Amino acid sequence: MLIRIFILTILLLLAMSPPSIANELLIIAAKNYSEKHINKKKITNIFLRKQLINQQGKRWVPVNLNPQHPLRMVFSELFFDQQPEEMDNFWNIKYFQGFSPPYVVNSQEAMLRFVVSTPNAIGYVSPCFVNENVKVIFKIRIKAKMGFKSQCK
Amino acid sequence: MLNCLKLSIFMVLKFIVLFCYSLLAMAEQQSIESNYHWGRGLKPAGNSLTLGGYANAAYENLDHQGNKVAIDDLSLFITWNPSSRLHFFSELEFEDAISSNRGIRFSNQTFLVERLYADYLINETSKLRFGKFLTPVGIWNSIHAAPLVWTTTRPLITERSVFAAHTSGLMLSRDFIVNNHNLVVSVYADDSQNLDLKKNRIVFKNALGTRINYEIIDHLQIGFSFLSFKNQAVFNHSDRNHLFGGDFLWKKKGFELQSEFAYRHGGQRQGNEVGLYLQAVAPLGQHFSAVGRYEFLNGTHHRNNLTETGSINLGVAGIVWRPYTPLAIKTEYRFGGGDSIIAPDGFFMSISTFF
Repeated sequence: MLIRIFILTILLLLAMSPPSIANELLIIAAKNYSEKHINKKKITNIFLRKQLINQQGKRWVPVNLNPQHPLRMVFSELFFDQQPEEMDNFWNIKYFQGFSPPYVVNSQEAMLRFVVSTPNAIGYVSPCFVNENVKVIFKIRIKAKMGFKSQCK
Repeated sequence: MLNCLKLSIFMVLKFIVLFCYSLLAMAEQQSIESNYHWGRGLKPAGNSLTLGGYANAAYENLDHQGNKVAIDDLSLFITWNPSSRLHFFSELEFEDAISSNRGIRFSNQTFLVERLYADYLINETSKLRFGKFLTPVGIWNSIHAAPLVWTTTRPLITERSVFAAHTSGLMLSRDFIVNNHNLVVSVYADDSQNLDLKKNRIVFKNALGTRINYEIIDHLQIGFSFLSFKNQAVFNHSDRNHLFGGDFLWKKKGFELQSEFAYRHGGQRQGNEVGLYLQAVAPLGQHFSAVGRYEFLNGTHHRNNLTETGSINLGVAGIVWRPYTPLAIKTEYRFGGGDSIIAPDGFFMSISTFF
């Protein structure tokens, strides 16, 4: 009887634990990326063009997916707590101050190609898109309530 | 006179419509699609150079003072990043280019140098600015461009007669992250008397100032400003003024609440001035927003070579339509000022766009 209860408890705990491959968003950079410290706030500042250069004095090149892409919406919600279209006025202010928004690409494949080929580029993809040509520098879990399902094809 | 006014309104509206139409048409042309985006400028040579700007046409109908239509801002931006650490920015402005006040009048001014500066990025968090830039006091002065702000009229406490809008000199800024939120501290020194070759109407003789801005939580920021300055000419008085200011801005999901407070201590001859405004914005749907503002000003006010002493309480109520990101169409009514020289009652309307 005790053994049955033990097994049932283990099974219940396993059922409650998160899946081994979590629904995550990965921040990626080129293979030669060498920053010592990176965190969520720093990434936010890079994408908002508040932090312009890295520790080596080279200019960051952030790259975004287009505003309608589901992963862009998730990224925007996770890092800025706003949807892309809510940030129009922020970018108007930045334009008045002489700064343009990040580059925009239309797919995660294009994001990978851009990051690999552009020095100091920083972007984001779903886990299944990562390959050996990029370095994952930060991971953030996508909340279930966001309803995002990673599509690898 | 009425026909003249109608003609000028028609001309201004025609200009704006044609201008916006040509911008849309340009943006849609495949050949330059990748180089020009309406409201984000033209990048003619890669991404190191950006050309852009904004335009504003305004109409006002002040009680007891009649109508006026004007293309009162036409600004051109040039941004250049020649290297990782260097950033150049200039804004040249044709102010009051065309106005219908007392008949159609073309400005005989050439242009104003609104901003002209170079930023040197010392490291990840520090920046040195040299040149002519907007005086970092409060929120409004730093983002005063017509397409950015919610009303055609400017709050009284942010006007150029309280403190000069521009600083010519050096500014050192340092960013900190405190409790996972950005804190920006800037100190600056002005020597407009020697550095500002193309002077605006009201400029500092010299000034020293500091600005602290902190994002307390994700959607709320607070700021503090201090400025010690002498003006070039305020009734030939050259008393040293000290200004203390505080401000906050909260915005989320289209709602905004913004306030600025400032106290200027100007000595016996120039007098003191204290004021504030509180502005609220609420989305109405279909890209429309309602805006309301309360303003208070007390003390000795210098406006248009006139001095007025006393206090004033104002209200501004308006509607703003932003059908496209770079475009803003605003209407508002200002009340409470009566026919004072500082802020007469009246109706205001404007159309502005970044290009």
